[in-house]
Amino acid sequence: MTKTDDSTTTRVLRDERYGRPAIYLAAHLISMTGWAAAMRRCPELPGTQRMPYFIGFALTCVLVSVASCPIGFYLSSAFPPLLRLGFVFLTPVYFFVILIGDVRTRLAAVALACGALAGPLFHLVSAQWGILLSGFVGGTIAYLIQRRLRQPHA
Amino acid sequence: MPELWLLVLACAVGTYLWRGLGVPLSGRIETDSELFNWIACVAYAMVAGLITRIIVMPTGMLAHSLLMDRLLACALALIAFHASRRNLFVGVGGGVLTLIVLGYARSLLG
Repeated sequence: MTKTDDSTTTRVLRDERYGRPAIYLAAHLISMTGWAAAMRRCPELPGTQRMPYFIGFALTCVLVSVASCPIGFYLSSAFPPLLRLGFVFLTPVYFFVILIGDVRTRLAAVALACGALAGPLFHLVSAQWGILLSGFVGGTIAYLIQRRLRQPHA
Repeated sequence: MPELWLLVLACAVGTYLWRGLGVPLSGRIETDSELFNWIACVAYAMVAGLITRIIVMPTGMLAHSLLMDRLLACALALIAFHASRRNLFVGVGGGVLTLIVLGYARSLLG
């Protein structure tokens, strides 16, 4: 999963002003959060501003998570079960909102829909390979669909 | 203890290898090419597949909540997000709060 994410995001970030070390640092900082934020904001930014935007955003996320992690670990047992459930639900609902709530292009909409259908289906086929398969199969179907939509007479 | 650190190091090398390899690989791809479109599709589909899997078929603690409640919470999160002019905090908070309130209401009903 990280492989494809890295390819797309580091390609969008690339600018001759920033050398190899910056790109390799950016590759290390890629996560779903940083990826979604960069794919949303960076295409609107001029090339020279993309790398600083991404590294600042992702580094802040990493540092805040590292600091919060031990605090959450020690506090969680003191929380009532329903509150703990709410915290566990935070991650999926957050990803749900940043992805589905903020679709900008038809390509993204079609790909998200295909992946959403393929995800649970392939999980039933193979829990180990389900995510990878849903990405490749769902993504390829989505790519073919949006190419068809772009050229209706082709 | 030292073998634990070795394991952490091995995992770090394992993940970074793919990230590092992505850099030279991505240098050969044009952002407005068909190949890039396909890669973007695969990435979006993979992420969407993962999230729907977690929401529809969760493991661990989330498995104790009802599917209906999780779906309602997601729907409300989206509505709250758009109603608040795309405020992430309001959207995500609304979704989490919905799940907690629904779980509490069910516990009251028995």
